[in-house]
Amino acid sequence: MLKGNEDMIQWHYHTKEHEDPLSTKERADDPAKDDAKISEVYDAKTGYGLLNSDSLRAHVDISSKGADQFVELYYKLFDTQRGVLNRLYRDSSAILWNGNAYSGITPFSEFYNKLSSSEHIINSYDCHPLPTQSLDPNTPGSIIVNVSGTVKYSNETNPRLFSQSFVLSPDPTNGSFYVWSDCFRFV
Amino acid sequence: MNLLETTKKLSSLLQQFGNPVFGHEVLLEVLLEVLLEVTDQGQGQDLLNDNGLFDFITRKVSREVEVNISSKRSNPTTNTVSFLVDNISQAKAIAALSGIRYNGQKLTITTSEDARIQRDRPSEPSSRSSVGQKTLNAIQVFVRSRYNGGFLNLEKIGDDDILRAANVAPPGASSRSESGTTIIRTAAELFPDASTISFASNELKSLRPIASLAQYFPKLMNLSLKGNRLRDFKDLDALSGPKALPHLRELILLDNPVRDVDIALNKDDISYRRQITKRFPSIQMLDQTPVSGKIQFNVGDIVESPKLPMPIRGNFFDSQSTQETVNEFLLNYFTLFDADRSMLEHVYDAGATFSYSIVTTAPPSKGPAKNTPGNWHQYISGSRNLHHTQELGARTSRLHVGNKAIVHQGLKPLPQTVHDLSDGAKYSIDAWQMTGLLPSICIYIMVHGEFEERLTDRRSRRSFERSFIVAPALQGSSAAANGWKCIIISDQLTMRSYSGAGAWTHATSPSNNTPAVNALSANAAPIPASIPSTGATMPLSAVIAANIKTSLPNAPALDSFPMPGMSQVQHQKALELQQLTRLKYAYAVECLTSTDWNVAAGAVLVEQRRASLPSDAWQ
Repeated sequence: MLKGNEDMIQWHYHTKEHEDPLSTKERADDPAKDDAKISEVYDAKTGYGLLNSDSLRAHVDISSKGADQFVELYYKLFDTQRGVLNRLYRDSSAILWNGNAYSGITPFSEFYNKLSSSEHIINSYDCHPLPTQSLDPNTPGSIIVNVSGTVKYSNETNPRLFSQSFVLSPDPTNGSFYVWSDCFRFV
Repeated sequence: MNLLETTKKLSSLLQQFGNPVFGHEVLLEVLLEVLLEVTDQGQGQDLLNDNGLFDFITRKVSREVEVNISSKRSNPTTNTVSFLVDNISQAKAIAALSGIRYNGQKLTITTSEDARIQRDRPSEPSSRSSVGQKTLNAIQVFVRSRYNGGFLNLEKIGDDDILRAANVAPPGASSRSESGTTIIRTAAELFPDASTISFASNELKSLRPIASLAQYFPKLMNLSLKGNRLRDFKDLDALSGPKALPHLRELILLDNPVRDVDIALNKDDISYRRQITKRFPSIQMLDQTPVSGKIQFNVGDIVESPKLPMPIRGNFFDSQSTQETVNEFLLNYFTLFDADRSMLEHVYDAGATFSYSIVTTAPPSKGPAKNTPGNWHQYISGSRNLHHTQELGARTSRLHVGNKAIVHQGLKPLPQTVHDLSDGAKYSIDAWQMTGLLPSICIYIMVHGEFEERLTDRRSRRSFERSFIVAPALQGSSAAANGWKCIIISDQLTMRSYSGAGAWTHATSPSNNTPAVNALSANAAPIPASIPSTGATMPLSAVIAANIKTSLPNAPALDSFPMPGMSQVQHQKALELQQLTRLKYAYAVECLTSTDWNVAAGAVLVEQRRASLPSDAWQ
């Protein structure tokens, strides 16, 4: 089951040991300072979200460009270089494929290596930036990307409609994004 | 020849075969003929050709029995029409209609048993009603006479005495003659295992008159068509191909123009033989010469392996509490989405995001992708399909942020919808809890399903995908005050042409979770028409509240709401202490307040005080 995430509690602003390589600000040891920073994250007026109109365009720009890149890259890899796909996942990734759950990339790659070779055609995708740790648009936070399209497996005659939903998150060690969760279904 | 003579001849033949059962069969079949008599003159022939009459009769008896009407004949002098049915019950059912009116005329209907009595009167003309039986019986006699140990010799049918006596035209003699089919069918009834049949010397110009061989003798192995008049290869089409006679091993086409002319033309039989083996791929002997020189491949039996490495499963939930929470949430959400979208202001976070996109191409099952944007003009201007929308301004404006903007600019402009939540099979839900993604725990939900779009002038069915990321509603928030346990952080909707629920309802394995709830509304009482907004945290449905447990041992505590006035950091620390000590949230908070929000000190304190803490302090 998808229990992997429980180990991944990355309270970015909470654990003292953790360095945020993307932040240029000094880490605050003073809880009061933390509070001030955090009250920007959760505010009764704006709730969990932090997308006020000033930064909205910037957030949209970064997140949607990220989605553009990801969608192109992911399906290209899936169709032509599936062996490399695992670099986009981690052991903590939560993966669901037509109701079959995989905790982490290793069992999932065993599965998709058995899947016949594929050809994906993308019909639509959309993405939202998520109100994760940082509200600074220069340090992009996680995004959710939903993709719709058709996929044709070489051992089948007809293409199938599919819907796939990704949550992409930055890897704390190097800032590159990976698949935090992946939910795929034929529709 | 009149009936009497025929009957005499028949009985002498019967005696030849010495089959008492055969005589019984004759009797039975006589009953199956139905006679229609109409009162008006000159209607007999018209009735014969009036298919409406036979449809009418078929329909009238359809409640009792399904009838099969064949061999229609008419007798203009007596204004009667007769036909055959399959068995007594059909005959009786139709006869029971006698007296019914059709097109203003009264139909008198009798079965041939009644007619037989009349027939025996010498003054009656030779019975039109017995034509059917006479023929059938003759054919049976004929077939029997031609069978010998697996071999059915149906050559020279036209010269046969028995059939001549019964006025049966040979197959192919006239375009309307069905004798080929009748002969073959009769033969199949009598000798279903015949594996060798000869239709030699029957002056056949094409195989159509005997095409029913494929139906009645599908396992036929040897066929002779020697000495017929088959001229072109296409004359063989009626029995060609791998599906017609898949077990045919030997074929003889000697003495047919199609063979002789081709061989004369080419000076050898190679191309002729190739044409034939192409049409009859299973044969190994043609014209008494083995079919040879073929490259064969033997791969044994190819076992069909399942196409997908994993079965398609139904709804996925990572825990019972997720399932209950999500089912309740979706039920309430879609109910309001259909009924009153302004009520949804409470369930979206102040910074939530919503957008929708549409897919205008038709699903692949409906043939090559067809773009039908005309169906979607309601949605096109707001559709945030990043695949098509590249420009930042549009990408930004089509993303709605904040509960008010979402409801008023995002949701309300969309057409009216109806989601049929009573049928869980129409929806697929995958949901699980996520920790570490957002500042609070959240649930990720992916729904696939359908809705009916209701415009003023028409209704359309659509399919949709919708992802929700929801977080617990904080105590004292307007969401909680309106009965919501969750608030929406992100809501992404994709709509496309209706494609049904087949992709997940044909799940080859049962769904992953507890058998109880796949239908969204299985646990719910009917939703009250107006949502009460007292200050208390009252659920939208009283019944659901009783069923939903707010804390289960294995689920991260969804009931841990930060208290008003607590900062986020304090909330996180409380959660951390909870995890370390398994204290209930309120107690963790209390503990931390006395240790100046130092988690480590708090944990120590808990250990010191463990004995004195009440039992309900623990999760």
